[in-house]
Amino acid sequence: MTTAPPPTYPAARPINYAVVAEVLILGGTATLFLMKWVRGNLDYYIHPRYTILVVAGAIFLLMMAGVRLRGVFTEPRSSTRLTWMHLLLAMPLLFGVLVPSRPLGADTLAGRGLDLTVRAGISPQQASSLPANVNEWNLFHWNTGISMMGTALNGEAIDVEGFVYHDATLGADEFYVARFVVTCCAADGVATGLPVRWANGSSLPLDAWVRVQGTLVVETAGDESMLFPVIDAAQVEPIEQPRLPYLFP
Amino acid sequence: METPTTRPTASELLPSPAVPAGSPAAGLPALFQRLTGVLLFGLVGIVLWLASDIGVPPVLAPWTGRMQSFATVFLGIFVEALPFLLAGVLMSAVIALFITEEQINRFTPRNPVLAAVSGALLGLAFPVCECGSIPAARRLLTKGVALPTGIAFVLAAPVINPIVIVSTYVAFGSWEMVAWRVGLTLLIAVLVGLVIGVAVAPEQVLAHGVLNPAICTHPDHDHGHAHGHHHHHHHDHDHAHSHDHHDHSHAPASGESNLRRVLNHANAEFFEMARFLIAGAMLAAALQTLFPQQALLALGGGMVISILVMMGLAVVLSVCSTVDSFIALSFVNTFTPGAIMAFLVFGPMIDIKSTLMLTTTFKRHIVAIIALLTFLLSLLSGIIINFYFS
Repeated sequence: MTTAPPPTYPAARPINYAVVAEVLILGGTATLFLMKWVRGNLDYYIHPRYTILVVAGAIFLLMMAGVRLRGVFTEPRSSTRLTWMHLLLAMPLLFGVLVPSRPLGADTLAGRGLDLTVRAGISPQQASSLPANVNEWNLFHWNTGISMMGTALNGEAIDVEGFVYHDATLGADEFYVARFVVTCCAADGVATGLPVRWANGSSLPLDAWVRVQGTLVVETAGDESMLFPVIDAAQVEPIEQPRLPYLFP
Repeated sequence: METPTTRPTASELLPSPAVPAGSPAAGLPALFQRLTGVLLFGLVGIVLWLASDIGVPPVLAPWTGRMQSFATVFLGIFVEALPFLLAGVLMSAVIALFITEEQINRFTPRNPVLAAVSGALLGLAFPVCECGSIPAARRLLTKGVALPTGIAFVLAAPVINPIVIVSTYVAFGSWEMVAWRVGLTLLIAVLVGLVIGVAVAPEQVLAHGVLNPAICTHPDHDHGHAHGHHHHHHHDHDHAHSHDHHDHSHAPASGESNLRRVLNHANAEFFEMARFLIAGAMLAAALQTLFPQQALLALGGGMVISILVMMGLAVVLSVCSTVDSFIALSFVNTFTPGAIMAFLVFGPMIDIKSTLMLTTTFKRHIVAIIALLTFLLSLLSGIIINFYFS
């Protein structure tokens, strides 16, 4: 703050770029998530149950940006400076704009590992949430069902959708059909999946979405407690990525 | 603005990777800080470039997918916490503008135990999670709330509030689970609040910038002081409303509607808190991307190790207390009951983002002590539960 003449002409004050940055961060972040919501991509990040909260939050951010707008011309430059902090605050905006919206998929799985064992622990609530009709079961339901009923499901007709995942433990004629299960947001996403027997299955492109129809085979090893489920596929057809790529239990 | 008591060099050093470049250089440490800041931003820039898939050479193409997962997880944590942080800063703004020190003094018990207990139960009236409880607690402490009350509130409010009680019940379907969770949280929050609140003087606990009521008795200065360091731009504004409180004849002259004042306050608070949320979310997402959880979960069986694993998971996941019950649910059959309970009690109090955010309110070594005490007490509770139930 230099010894400027008394501010008799407020309009003559220069534009405060730090405040401009703050307004852009607030407004931009709000617009980013509203756009993702409009395009249906918000579900890649968070359970649809919380969409309403995110939209309300974005509106609140826009209101704060609107109120902050006045400071662009009224605040002296010396009171607010552009710092690295503004860059940090812009990170969600930068990542949201520059990185194409993509749901968790095979790449994430390569880092986290396919998780069949954790999901094998099923609480009574989850068990009772299984649809009565087996034809409506998704991959999560099947894995839940298999861990509850085991070999009783052997020979059932199965029809599931998921993305292709390859694992070193599988043979040339096998691949995994997998799906992420999200409880709240992408951070807690856990993959669930079943191996599929399909001629040349290992040559299917990674991350491609497929519909697998066939028969469920549940084999056991040694003492009946080790279950090895596998889908004996009759048909594997490529499909579009579903509108909701995750399963929300 | 710079009063003699406002020059602690330690609290100038922000724990986040980003360092305010605007702060005056204070010799070598400042240089190191700036270097680390530049390095970290450079690293983030590379991640951003790889994830954006703009002009990435084929050699590096395999990284694009991994970095896009990072982006999805980072934005997932951020967008999940955002509404709750906004609720917290809104509440903080309302406390700042419409609740006076006198009102708070009248309702704060003198007895430290009662003060801590009342702080721990205050969440029943302020339904916030950890992102919201920190700005609210900071504001309450600024307004002169006793230290045990403030600390117990910040730790307990994320669990002892109507929303989380209901979500815990919905997830587990048992009131016994809710009672254990609420009871243990209350106990730990009160103990930590008492230990720190009684043993240490407020000026040694509160971060630079949070008003110390014992020293700063001038109402004209307190808000300016509170914001002066990090947020110069709200200085004059805060002065204006301080006058409102103490001399109502000045209020109409400011010409600002209540809504505008609340939004301005919330905005300043948001900028102060959001950087820690963002840094924390990026750190948590990076840990998830680099270290497979599978390796961690394989350790799930032991009586003690399972508790440590679930507490580690709570820190890394950094999810909000309103939803963590549903996550804990999926571990019920693979982890010991003590581990599940430690996850539900420790997670809302301490995780990556909340630890970073706590440094806005408490001095950094106090944050470390709070985290350590909470960790030990949660671990102890988990061990006791495991031996009691088996």
